[in-house]
Amino acid sequence: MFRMNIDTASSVPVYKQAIQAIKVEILAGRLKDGDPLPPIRELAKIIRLHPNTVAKVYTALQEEGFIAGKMGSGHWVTFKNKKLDSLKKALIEDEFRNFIDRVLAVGASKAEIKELMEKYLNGDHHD
Amino acid sequence: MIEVTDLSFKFNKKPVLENINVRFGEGEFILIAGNNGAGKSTFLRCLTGVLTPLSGSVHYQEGLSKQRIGFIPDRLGFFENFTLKKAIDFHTRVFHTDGFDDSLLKELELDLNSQVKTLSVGERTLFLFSLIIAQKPRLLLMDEILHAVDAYLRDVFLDRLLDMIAQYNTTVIAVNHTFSEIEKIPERVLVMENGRFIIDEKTDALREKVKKIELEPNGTVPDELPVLFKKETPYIKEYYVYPFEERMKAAFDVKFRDLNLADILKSFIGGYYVKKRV
Repeated sequence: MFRMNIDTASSVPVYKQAIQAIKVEILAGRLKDGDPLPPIRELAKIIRLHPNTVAKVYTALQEEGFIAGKMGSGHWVTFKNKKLDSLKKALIEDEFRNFIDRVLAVGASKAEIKELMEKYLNGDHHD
Repeated sequence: MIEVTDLSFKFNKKPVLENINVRFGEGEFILIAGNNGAGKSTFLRCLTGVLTPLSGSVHYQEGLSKQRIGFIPDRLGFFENFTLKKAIDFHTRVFHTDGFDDSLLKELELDLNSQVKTLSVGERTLFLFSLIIAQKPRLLLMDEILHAVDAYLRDVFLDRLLDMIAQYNTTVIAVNHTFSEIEKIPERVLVMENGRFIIDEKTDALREKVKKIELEPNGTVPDELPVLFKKETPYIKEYYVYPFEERMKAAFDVKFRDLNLADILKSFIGGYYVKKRV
């Protein structure tokens, strides 16, 4: 989760981006059940957000059942959220749609997209 | 935390601040931006009490002692001939602080026996900041000094600043701090122009209200769009739209781009110079 990228040129509020970034780490399995999260003041320094904003991020994640804990005594990842699988699926679809939008914008045809997809998924693109 | 009522200030009979009314809450991080000469530094100095307003008042929350207000001015000319050690002793006595944390000085390898005037701008800023931290500040006022501090020391400064905020829930009012490292921090932004605040918004709301349109040199922008500031070169035309509304996306056949905070503030400041020319 320390690869959290926050796009300052996005109109998506930074706290929403931070919530999303932590969810991605959990859904992708890089943060596991029971893993501790950094204290609020440490995460504030790592991602350069106001401590109040980080507190807001933790509270939101807690309400959604992604993390547990208390202000002052630490937070950790929990898999209390029963919808992890469907959330992961939605996230993958989101990313996929963004990707398709970008290649279409460059002028790729559907046939080209399919062809490249095959090529890259088969790992024979190192020529 | 602070309530400013009908504040006005004149310098050589010329109005610098005009009838300002604003409130700042406890623990808020506020960014004040604006063109040179807009009145930002004067406003900060009225908040600290260094300047006495012509009329109006600055009212602090009850129980907030001056000893817990930190001020970092835009020019640092303090304790010039003192050694660091003497400056710390003096500051401790004046502000009745208990215990000075010298970890920052150690981190920067500053010698307690050297004179303050031998420090670089960045080192001085951090030295002053370490004195302010000893005040356990509940309010910190920062003028645009960080622009003169190099990128490494600015990082060191920001780490300490965020620590301080977490520890003392300090309210911070920062003038013209618009470089990238800090831009995710402020939750509220004010823009000053001709001694008044023309913008006072939550940062997230402001981000939604200012957009940029990029056009080919022969492109035209619909007359109905509120253009704050434009920039034209032989290669590209850029229009900054404010206030942007979501319905404009459907109503106009142009792409509205999101902007970072620095660009948003630049367009307001640029807008000021355009108005001045007209």
